[in-house]
Amino acid sequence: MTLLTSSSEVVEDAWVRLADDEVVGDHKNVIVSLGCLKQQQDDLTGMPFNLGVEIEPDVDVEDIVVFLDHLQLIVLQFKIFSDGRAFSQARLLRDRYTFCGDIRAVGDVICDQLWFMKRSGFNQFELAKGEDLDLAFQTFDQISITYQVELNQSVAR
Amino acid sequence: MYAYSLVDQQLVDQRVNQFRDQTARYLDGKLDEEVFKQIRLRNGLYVQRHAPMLRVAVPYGVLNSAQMRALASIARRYDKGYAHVTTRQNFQFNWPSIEAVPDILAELAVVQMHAIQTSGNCIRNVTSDPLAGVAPDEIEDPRVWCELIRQWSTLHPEFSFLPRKFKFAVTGSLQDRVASQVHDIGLQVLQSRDGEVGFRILVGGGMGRTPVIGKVIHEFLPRADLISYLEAILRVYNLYGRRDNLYKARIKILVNAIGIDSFRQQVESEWQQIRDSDLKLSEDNISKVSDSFKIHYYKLLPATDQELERNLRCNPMFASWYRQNTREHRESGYRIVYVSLKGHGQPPGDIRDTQMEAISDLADQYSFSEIRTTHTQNLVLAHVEQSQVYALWRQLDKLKLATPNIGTLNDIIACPGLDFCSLANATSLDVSEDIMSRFQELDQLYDIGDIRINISGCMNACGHHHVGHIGLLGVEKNGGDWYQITLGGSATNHTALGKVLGPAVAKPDIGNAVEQIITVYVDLREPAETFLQTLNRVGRNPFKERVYDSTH
Repeated sequence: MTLLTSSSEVVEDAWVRLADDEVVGDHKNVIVSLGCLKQQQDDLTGMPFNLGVEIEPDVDVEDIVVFLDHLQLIVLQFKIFSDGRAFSQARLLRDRYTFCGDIRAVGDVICDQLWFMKRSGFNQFELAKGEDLDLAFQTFDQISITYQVELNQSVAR
Repeated sequence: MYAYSLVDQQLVDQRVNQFRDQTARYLDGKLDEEVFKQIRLRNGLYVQRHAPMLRVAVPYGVLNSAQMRALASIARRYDKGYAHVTTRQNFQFNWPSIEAVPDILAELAVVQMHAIQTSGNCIRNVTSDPLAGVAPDEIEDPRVWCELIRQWSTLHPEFSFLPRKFKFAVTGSLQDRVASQVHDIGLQVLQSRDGEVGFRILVGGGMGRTPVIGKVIHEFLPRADLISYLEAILRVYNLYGRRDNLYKARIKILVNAIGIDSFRQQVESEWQQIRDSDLKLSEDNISKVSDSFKIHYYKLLPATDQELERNLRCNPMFASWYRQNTREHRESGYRIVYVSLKGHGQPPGDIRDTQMEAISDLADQYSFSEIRTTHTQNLVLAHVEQSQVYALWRQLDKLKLATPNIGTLNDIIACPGLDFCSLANATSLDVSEDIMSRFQELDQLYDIGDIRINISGCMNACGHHHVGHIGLLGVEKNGGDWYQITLGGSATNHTALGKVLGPAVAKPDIGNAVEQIITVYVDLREPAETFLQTLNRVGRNPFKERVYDSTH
């Protein structure tokens, strides 16, 4: 599995997703579900492996704030590209909770939305099947103007 | 009007190139149908009954003569020689081809126009008062706030894939001319006793299948907090608005489901965390935007003009047009002129390429090169010297744009209906024509007074039927066009939703039914009583009896 990063690099995915009844074993980087994380908090945090969690679009990100110090990766889902909840989740994680690990978009991740995702705080993308990697690179800088990031500056020009 | 900077221009240019690439990929079979649909909608492109429809943004309803000429040129070369003014103050073309749209957008970009976010589940073009900056009852010019909202909402990283479309209206006057109570968010500029300017914010209003009047979420928000507060509302909506059912996805459904108090609480708690962030507007931010609006250098003119007074006395045609189609201007010696797009035989809001060019010339000559669109589908030349009003009238009259019917029952709002729209159940345009043809006698029209008739061809209510004094909603029944009649709606300060009068009426009878409603009003009204006042006093029964007796 390859991943695209927000700095337009392609990297091998070093992470494995664990099913809720699976043991960590020798894995160095594991992604668990939120339910699993909550139930097995003591077994999963402070251990010699990197920890990631995948959360559903309807999860209130406040629910994972207590775990943030132990997390290196948060995976947010686009079950369908037009469901924009993960944009808010990512934004809250970055802006409000100052999460500085990786935030990964998975699911129906299409090239034409990468620009919005990157600006909302995502930095890793598992492109949906059939999406063109070359195109994905181009989409990041098709539009260089953003009113929001620099709302104050843009207004000030 | 707002002077676009190089930054604004660059964004529009880049967006054109991006859409050109996306269209090419789609036509090449490399872009999924559903993905392209969401992309094209956010670039104003619908696929309609006969051809694609392109909706071009006119931010808060203000454009200049060069932009109007560009629209005219597009209408002539890519369409069938006309365009349509919509109830969101935008321009619509009904006959472009998909392949041509990137070229059209490129031509629009040259005059700083675009179709960004005129459709799709995102924040749409902000609408405002067509009399902004010139209305005598204005507290503050709403366009500065509209422009700030335009910038904030354009390609917003977080709010570009909302549960459903999202519409703002901003009014800066005491008199609500923007239908602020039937928008997802309505902003009303207020002034406190000590002179501070802020906003009353309404949320969860709207028309469509579930018409709702907006509820007050904030009584007086300081202006510095506007953007952070809007961001808080949108974030709560983006996260918690329903996405499982298209018809229950608007913010009004969320607000109604959890109640305005609970919704307000959620927004407040979100807002407290961001209110002192970068989103806070400094006086400097605000004045930079307001300084980007070109100032009109009005002449110092006397309040009355002898020549105008003489023409008003000597020319009754001119006098009735002046009374009906012009309004008082804030500046002494100036007049606001409405250009009626409701001439006999003309679909409401339609305008020919040649008329558009002629209006551009008139705007250059008489009104600081500026033209405005209204949500009632007319145009406004907002700064005409009183001494020039007569000359302007003569030219508008030649162009068939001086029908003296603004505000009368012939000033009908109608969606394009089944003639163009793939969502419609019934036609709107021929019904509007039928009604107008019954009231061609001007004396009779003026005697009846100001009545708002709004016609929608389907439940989506693009023709604002819920807020018409008389509203007509097209429904399909046994393969024919039928119309449900509502009475008592209004989108002004006292916004009300019309109530259904009775069973739907078949198309051949609908014109007569409207005529009967008017007759009942004229028969029963007391001196100086408006239609809504009479209706409220006598109730619906007299109207109901007459309509259903006459159609059976």
